[in-house]
Amino acid sequence: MKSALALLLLTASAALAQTTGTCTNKLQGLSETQITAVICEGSALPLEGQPMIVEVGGSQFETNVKKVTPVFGFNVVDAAVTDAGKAQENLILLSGVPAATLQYQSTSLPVSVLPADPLTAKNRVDYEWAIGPAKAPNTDPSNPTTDATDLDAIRFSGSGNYARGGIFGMKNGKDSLLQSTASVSIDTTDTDTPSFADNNRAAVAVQFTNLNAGRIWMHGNAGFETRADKAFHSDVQNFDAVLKVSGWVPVLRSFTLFSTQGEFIAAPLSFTASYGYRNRHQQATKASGRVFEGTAQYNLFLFDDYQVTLSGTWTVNDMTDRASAVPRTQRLYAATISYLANNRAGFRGVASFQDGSAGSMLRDVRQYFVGVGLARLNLGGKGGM
Amino acid sequence: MPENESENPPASESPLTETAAATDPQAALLAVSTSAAPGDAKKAVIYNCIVVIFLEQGFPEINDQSARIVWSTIDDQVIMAIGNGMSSCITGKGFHCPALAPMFATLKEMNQVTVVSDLVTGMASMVTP
Repeated sequence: MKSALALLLLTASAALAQTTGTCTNKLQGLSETQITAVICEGSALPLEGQPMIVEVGGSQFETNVKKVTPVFGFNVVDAAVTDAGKAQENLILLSGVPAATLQYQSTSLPVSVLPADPLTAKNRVDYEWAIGPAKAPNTDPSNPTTDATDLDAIRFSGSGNYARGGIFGMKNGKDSLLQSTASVSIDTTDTDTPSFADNNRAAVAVQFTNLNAGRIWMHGNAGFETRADKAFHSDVQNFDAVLKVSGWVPVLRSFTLFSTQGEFIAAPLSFTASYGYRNRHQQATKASGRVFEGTAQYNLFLFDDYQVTLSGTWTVNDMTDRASAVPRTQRLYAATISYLANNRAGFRGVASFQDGSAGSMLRDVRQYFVGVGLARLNLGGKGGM
Repeated sequence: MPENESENPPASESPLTETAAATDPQAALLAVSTSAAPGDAKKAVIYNCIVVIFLEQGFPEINDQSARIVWSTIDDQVIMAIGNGMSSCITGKGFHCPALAPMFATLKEMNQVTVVSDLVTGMASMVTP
């Protein structure tokens, strides 16, 4: 039954994947006199030379459409603000809201608003999730005879991130680098066996963002985070309060090997490191003390159409009263292989592999997946200062 | 018109050389060092801005226009910085350029991979004159 379900999901994943490329209408007022909108296919387009009203926060202003350009499967609309006297006011309006409405001819089109200032991009919401069949060797320690038949499961993985400028809604200076974040990540299966990953985390943090130290550390964040790990299939929880640093390391650039076409331009090595206090409940035992956790992710491109994303997570549970059942060190390595069928569709995950343990997992696992459901990304610039 | 017009070289020079003179030294070097640069000044300016801004934002140097940008690997705030930086770069060379962050954000949303030459051509259709 489970195999049949896995096969069904694998078959369905191809169809689901067709819907992964989403397009949302959006707007940015980069200067006082100019706005630019992206209007996705399927929506009526404004006409060049005609007025377009931008309705924002109970107010509105008029623009004149200068150019409508179809590119890459959507349309870019360049418009000039008609009343130059109110231009500054309009820009302020647009910098403080997450959404607006465009009105032209008989069309009324809701759009999300991207802030003009790159620093305000610290306001964001994004999420992704995937479902797919998973397999793991049947190496249950209570049964020393390893079964030649792999274990099957359905894997659920996903993450959601929310970030907002300032400290959780408090008024914040426009140039402040302070940012509040909340995140949830899930990596689990439908089975109780500890042979599969079961590592789920919720976290909130306050951090400084957009920190740079040249090509050694770029797009960095540093701050304080509290988080909870919980296994869904066993009685294990971690509660952490840590100092956390993250960012890119541009000197460790992504590489393309054996390609007959051009090289891929992608993010370099990225990392997260945290150090602080951990309180761990594992079945009947409790332990507390210091914890270090480091994660690194790197993109490698092979031939003309394969992306291999490598990641490693290293955890040191340096607890003074750590019970023998609580591992001192945990290492989790993962590799995800994605295939580029064509540039418009982008890379799609086709297989992944995990080895080790992290967070609330009871023991090392070795599992692999074939087929990934759909992933959705959302860059809304969910406004407000 | 491109800024620093008075410093432009004589009309007999190639568009690439013209562009090189109109841009900052780094972009100028890039303009004259690539054999795959487009044939007109606008495309050359756009390509130079792509090279410079991506390098500024922590990416490896783009050596030719067959390079492919994998938007899905790029953080949202970096996408914004690239878009705003590139709009500013192109505008600074005397062209009218729409805000580019919405376009790059949409390319990421749609999970697209973009060949740099296609990006140059697409942007050239938006940039005026």
